[in-house]
Amino acid sequence: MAQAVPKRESAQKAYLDVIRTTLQAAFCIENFESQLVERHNKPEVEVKSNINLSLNPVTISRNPDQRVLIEGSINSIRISIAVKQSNELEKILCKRLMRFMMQRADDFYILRRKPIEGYDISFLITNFHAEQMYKHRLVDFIIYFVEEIDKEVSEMVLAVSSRGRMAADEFFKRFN
Amino acid sequence: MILLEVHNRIIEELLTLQIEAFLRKEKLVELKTDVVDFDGALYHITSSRDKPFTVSIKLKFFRDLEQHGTDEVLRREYGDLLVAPLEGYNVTLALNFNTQLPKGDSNEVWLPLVRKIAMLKRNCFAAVFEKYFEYQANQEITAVNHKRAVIHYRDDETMYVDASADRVIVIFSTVFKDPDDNIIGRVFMEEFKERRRQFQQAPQVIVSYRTPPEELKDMPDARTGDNIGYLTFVLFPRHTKAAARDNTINLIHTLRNYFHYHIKCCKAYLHAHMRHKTNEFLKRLQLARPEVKKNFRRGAGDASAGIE
Repeated sequence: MAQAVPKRESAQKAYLDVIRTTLQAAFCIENFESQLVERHNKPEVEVKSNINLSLNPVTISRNPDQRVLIEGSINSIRISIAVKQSNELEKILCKRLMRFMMQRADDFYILRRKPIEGYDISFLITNFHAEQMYKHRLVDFIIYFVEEIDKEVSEMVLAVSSRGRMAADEFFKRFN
Repeated sequence: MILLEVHNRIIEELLTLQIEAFLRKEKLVELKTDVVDFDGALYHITSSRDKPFTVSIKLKFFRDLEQHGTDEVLRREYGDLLVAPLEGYNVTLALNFNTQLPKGDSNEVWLPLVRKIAMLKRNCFAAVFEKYFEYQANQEITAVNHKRAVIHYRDDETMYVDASADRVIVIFSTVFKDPDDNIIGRVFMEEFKERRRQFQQAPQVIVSYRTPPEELKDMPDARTGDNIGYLTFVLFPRHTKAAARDNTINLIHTLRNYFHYHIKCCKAYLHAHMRHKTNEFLKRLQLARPEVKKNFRRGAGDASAGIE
């Protein structure tokens, strides 16, 4: 009897579960003042002043197009997401959506203004954010985000095609 | 509104207001306005108590149209409303309320005239199409000396019309200035091609990207490039016969504008959608913060705190 092929939902779920556990492990952040400059407090994952203070970066990839990179350090984590874009239309829609959100990074709090090379969007979470927000809920949010982005992009692609279809229909209906 | 209006709403409204004021024997407002329309059309409208109501249109590509007999068509449509063109404009219509307004009891008598004046731009285009529809109706074989009509109706975009024994071919070249427009435009063009199959009575549609289609291979200055698309419509006798002509001309001459209008609408819708989604994400993020509980209790020893 051949093995049942895992359903798409459970393959997605396995991917998200791995991301969740990795995030939970990486969220061991605490306040750490800069060792180089007096009175400064910088996110170590950005500054990378000392290799002792950073964890090994972990890449979780479902396929070459869909990856998540998690880099940890003593006082901050950086999470970069690469979204699946299979055709031209998806590429530009995804780029637009990401740019839209990154322009509002101030409001978004944990979003980084520029994504890391090779990825579409990045989050930077520091110990200060973790002090103001529950860690487990932040992890929940990231997982929700990864799920929702894919749905968003497909929704937008659908919107474009259905509008094109409707415009064409209206036009052709008028000919008799 | 899904289809673009063929007539110019501004002209129609201005004219209607003036006529109604005139019929009510009120004092007419002095008017002098400039109005713009699609394809770079510029209108100049003047009206005053003593002089007739004039509408002048200026089209950059009027020379191209003139070669195909706009004079005849305009004379036929407007008769004595047509006057010598104003300085700097291509066509002028003048309507004298005292003499040229159709008399009658109800509004409906002069509304068709108002509509006809508002379709001035459409009637300028009509000449080209009618000429080629005639060619096709008379079944002239291509060996005859008529050549393709080339109208540069926008700076970078051209429309080509040609007729053969059983069909009239209209080709639009269109430029997508924005790279995103380019991709959305392609999706739309594919949809046009697909959906045509559902509507057997519609003209056949052929799309081509970057390079001009086969029919234009003898035109050296047809544009090529990454952001150029060509839409070809093949109009059959059922579209070009006398009864269907007006409808066909109405739909075809604004096609490029219709197309780009819907692309822009699409982008606006996407923008609103993204804004909505971003707000949703923000709300979800707020959930991560601890709830702020309003504390009614003053202290552990307060007896009244136990009462709910």
